[in-house]
Amino acid sequence: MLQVEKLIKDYSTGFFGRKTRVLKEVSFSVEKGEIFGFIGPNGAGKTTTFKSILNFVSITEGKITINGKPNIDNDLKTYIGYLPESPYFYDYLTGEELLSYMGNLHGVEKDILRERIDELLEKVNMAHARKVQLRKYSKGMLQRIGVAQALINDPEFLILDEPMSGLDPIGRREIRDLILEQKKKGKTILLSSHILSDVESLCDRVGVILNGVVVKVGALSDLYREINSDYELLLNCKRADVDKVVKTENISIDERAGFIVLRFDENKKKEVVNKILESEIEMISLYPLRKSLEGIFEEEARKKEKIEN
Amino acid sequence: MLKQVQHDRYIMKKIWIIALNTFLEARRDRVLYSLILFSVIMILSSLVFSTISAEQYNKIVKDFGLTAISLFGVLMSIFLGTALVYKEIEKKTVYNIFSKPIERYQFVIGKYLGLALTLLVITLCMSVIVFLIVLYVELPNSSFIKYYYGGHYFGEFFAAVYFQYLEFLIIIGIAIVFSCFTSPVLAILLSFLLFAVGRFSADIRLFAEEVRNPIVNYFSEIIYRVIPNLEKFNIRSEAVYGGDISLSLILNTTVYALIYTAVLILLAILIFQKKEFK
Ligand SMILES: Nc1ncnc2c1ncn2[C@@H]1O[C@H](COP(=O)(O)OP(=O)(O)OP(=O)(O)O)[C@@H](O)[C@H]1O
Ligand SMILES: [Mg+2]
Repeated sequence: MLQVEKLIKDYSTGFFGRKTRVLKEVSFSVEKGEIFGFIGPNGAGKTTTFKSILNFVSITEGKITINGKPNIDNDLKTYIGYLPESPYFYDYLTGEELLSYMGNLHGVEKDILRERIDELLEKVNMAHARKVQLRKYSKGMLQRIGVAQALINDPEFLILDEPMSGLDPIGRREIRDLILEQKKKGKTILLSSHILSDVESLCDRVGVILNGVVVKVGALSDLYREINSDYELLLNCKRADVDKVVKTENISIDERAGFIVLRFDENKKKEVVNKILESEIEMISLYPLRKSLEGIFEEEARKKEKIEN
Repeated sequence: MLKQVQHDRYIMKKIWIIALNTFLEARRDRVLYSLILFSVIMILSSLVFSTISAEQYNKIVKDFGLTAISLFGVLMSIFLGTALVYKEIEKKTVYNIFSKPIERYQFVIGKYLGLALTLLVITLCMSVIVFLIVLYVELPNSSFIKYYYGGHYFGEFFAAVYFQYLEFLIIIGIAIVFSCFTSPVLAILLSFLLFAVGRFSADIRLFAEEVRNPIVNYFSEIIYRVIPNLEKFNIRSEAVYGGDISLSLILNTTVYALIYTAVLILLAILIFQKKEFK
């Protein structure tokens, strides 16, 4: 569906047109029918990549094709739905008018448009505010209406820049269901986020962008496998008992609610667990800690440093 | 062939959709309403003079009314025109537009037409108000005015309004060009500057001829030839005192205005094409 090859983007900043390279090497592809998550910390270049794809900015180097056609072909946009990050809209329009304007720009036929507006307002739970001017919308309401306008042309390819931002937990779930529903209809979705929990329950594959470079593309499970995660082991015993059994280097020991909690990483897991099992100590539970996005980022940053040295 | 026609109609339709939205925006603009309110107050205030003498008053009220239309129309053209494109870039609403199959030139033309439509409606309304006041004052003295001044010059009055609207079309064009690359404050200043030069360009050339300095002459000649001569659109005195407004004058002035407008829109499009929506 989408191919981004060796994309480079310079922004000229300042008066004298000094250039800063915002995207250094961005390569990834999105296959038809999948949900692709584009993740990275603030300022990594997610939004800039999306703007390049949509031809809002000219690209410095590289190649972007959608369905095999270069992205500057404007007709492609008939099949694309786009949600800008923190959506700005015409605040003098009502929710309904906005959807109608956006649909008209797409050239959606009148009867179909009228039906679709009702349906979408229902879907994003904004039917009650359809006649309210957008200047009176809250941030989350704007986000919802933004998702609705992205779907106004029943697009084959959805590009959503942080679709969950500004939403309450119910809103998140609703938007997630909506995205999954689109996937079921055979649509392709590219979305960005810096919150891993959003993408992990949603995306088939992810691309990780760090500092303008896509450092990793693959299924999230593969990504996790490569990262050493921390474990917590809950024990019912006295602190002194533990000290007798395991060497405490690289292990942090805490007391929590009368239990002893050991914390260690993947490399230590086997050794520690074996020792505890051999001893008399009662083991309550062992669980992996949730891997955070920061974990992935730190890992990648560390790797990069290694290469550079 | 048929396909081409359909395609063209499709392009026009999108321009029109953008124009209508711009018109809607103007209709919900509070600043515009206060400007309109002011102009109506100014026009109505000319009623004060009606107590002086009806013979004089018919001139005063026409002159006053046309001046009010001109003044507020120019203000609205510049204030709304300089925000036209800039605001959409600044507020990032361009992302909503250009994620749809819209070409940039369609957007610029649509925005222009939207404001032109807005001003058409406003100019028509104001001129009707002025005309009603003129009728109110002149009808009781109808035979007197005909005898003494040679006529009511109603036709000339509306010709003057039409010429005035042609001037607005050029000023909106100037404003939209600036709107494509600079902030409203600067755009407003530059637009007013060009407007002033346009209104006085004939005077500037006269002045330069007096100076007899080749460099000054050279520049004044350039200004005279490049910047539209906005005095061409001023036929207020004909509307008030009568005078010859021939069909060929109307045609020539119309063509003059449309050519300038087209060039300005083209310039705006060329600038906007290159714009990055960062
Ligand atoms: N208009 C601009 N001019 C110059 N530099 C910019 C501009 N917009 C963004 N940048 C720079 O480009 C980099 C990438 O920004 P971008 O908005 O793509 O990040 P992001 O990954 O979307 O971040 P976030 O998660 O905060 O949305 C940043 O370092 C930012 O400083
Ligand atoms: Mg972003």
